[in-house]
Amino acid sequence: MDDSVNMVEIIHNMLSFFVHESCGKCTPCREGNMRLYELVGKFLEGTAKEEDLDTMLDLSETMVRASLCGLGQTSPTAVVTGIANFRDEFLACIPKAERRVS
Amino acid sequence: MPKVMIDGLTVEVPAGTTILQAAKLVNIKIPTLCHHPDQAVKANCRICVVEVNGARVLQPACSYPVSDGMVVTTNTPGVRRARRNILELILAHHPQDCLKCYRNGNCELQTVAAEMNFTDDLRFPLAVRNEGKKDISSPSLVRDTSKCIVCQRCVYACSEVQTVHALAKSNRSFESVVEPAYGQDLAESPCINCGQCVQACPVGALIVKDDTDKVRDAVAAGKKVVGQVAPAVRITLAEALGENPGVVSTGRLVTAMKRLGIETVFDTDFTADLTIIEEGNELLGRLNKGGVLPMVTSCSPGWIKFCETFYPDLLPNLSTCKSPQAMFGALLKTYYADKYGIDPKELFSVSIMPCTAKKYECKRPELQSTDAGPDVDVVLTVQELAKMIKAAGIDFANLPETDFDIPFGLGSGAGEIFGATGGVMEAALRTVYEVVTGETLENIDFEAVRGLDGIKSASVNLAGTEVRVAVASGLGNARKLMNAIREGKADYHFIEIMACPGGCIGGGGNPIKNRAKMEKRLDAVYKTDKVLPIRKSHENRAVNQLYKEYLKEPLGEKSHHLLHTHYKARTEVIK
Repeated sequence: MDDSVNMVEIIHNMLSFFVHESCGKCTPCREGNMRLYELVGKFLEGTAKEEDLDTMLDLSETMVRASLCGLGQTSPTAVVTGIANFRDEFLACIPKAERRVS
Repeated sequence: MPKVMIDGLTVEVPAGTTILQAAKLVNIKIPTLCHHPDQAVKANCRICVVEVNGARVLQPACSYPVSDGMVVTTNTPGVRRARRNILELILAHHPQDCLKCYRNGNCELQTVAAEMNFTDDLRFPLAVRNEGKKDISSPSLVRDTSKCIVCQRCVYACSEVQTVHALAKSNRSFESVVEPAYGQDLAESPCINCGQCVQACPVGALIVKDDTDKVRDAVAAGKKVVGQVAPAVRITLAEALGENPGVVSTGRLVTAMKRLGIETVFDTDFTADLTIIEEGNELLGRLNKGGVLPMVTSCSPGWIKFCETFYPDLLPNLSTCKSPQAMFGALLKTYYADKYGIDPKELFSVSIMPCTAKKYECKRPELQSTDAGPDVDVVLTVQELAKMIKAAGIDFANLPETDFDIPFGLGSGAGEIFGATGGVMEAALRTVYEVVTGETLENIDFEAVRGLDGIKSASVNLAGTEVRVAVASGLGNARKLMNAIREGKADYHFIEIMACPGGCIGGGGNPIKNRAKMEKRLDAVYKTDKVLPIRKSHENRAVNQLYKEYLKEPLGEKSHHLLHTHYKARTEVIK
């Protein structure tokens, strides 16, 4: 993996792994991983809005703090660090009309 | 004892107390969904998370034990945010049609959402699992996995309490679903129709099958509608209509049923007494003639299907007596129809029961005594009757009282206590003792077989013979007892088994229960017995009249045809 890869695609791929791996016992992990996967998918499809980044961070925090085991507590790490370090790559996926006016 | 501080309030509690329990003591209510007071901890819904000082992440209050010096906060912005998001995740996977749900107004998810004041739009697309695919295969229950929140309380009831293992969590992650093995329908599974899953479900994913329209149709069609009311119904109906647990409503329920068009209302206590006469004589016969012992009661249709499924080798131990409801049905379409000149085909027989398994029982082909359809046409549970009463606009709380009709309106206290675990045993002992010894029983309260313990035993001296008896309620307890019999380790003569924990007052068709409510219901059963003028089945004049006029003798030819039945092995479902 080098700096030519699309980070949004990488994170989407990692989340598909966690969607598959979640045992489904606790709510935050069972439901949360799929919702994160769907949200990142919106960026790849070009249907995302900037608020979706806030939703992803908010949901990630709940998963980290409230999941029953280490899987759900750590699966959002890629989302949180991805948005922190590669925010511009996410923003580049958002159609111009949906971007916040800065 | 550990001292813990919750939201600034200090409380001292015994070791092992959970944060949830400790918080309750200082008047803090933490929302819960997967938590059930009578079940082991599951901690999977996470709606009860709280902040514990020093802990890395939030902790579930329902399972986290307090320790000395612990500081807990339950209402910080962080806790509120996490709970709100968890609720949103659940709601985004749940149908939004509360207004037409069976549990509308009586749903724990609805209550939690209301109490948390959740009014936001969902940020996630609605993804209802198995939408529109209800499992209506069971005669007793409807399973709608679209409403399931995967709390697994039903799995605990089915597998841990009842040891039936008809329900389990399948698949993983977002596709998780609670269902019978291999995605079978309930009717194909080992389900014994006890409805304990309905009692455990916090939402509308498992509900009682609604047969109320069949009764309304029969009334509208001008049929002669005759009802019978099980002993437990008078204990729990008022509770189902919003009154306190343990309020007995015998007279009011008769009035309400008549207003619903059930013109004749009889008391299943009557055939409970009849059961005691038949079953008591069967027991004496087995004791004296070296029959199969221990003899096991057969009143509980959930237990009967359980025995047929898991213990087919012990079917000879079952009493051949039909359940009181089935005896009643048989008498209605034969003796009663004949005596009152009614065409059995015009007679529509309705039972009001605390029991979902009775809906299955009434469909058994062996319980059809005439060519006029099943002996009992429709079984309504307490929940359904309560819904009919509400929908008809009947002000139940203020209804006048009406007596049961004759000739089957008289029941003894012995019939009355059939509603509680140990009741059939106590009723049998009251009669068998007097029949065998010829003496009047001084103290007819057999305390040893009362109470909510899962397995109880006692021994009674019957004219020099020691008769050992045992009582089990809940099929997990029944399984323990049956295994002991199989291994030759249980040396009993007579055993009472009820499928539901606590007996019929804990049946699946009652209003949703918990241990505290069960104690009040149990109390009401024995208080009702205590004040009845007749408390022994063999002193029931109406039963004695029936023998004189029609049946002639216990275990006689008429009894054999109308009051006794046979069983068959059903092991194919677990192979």
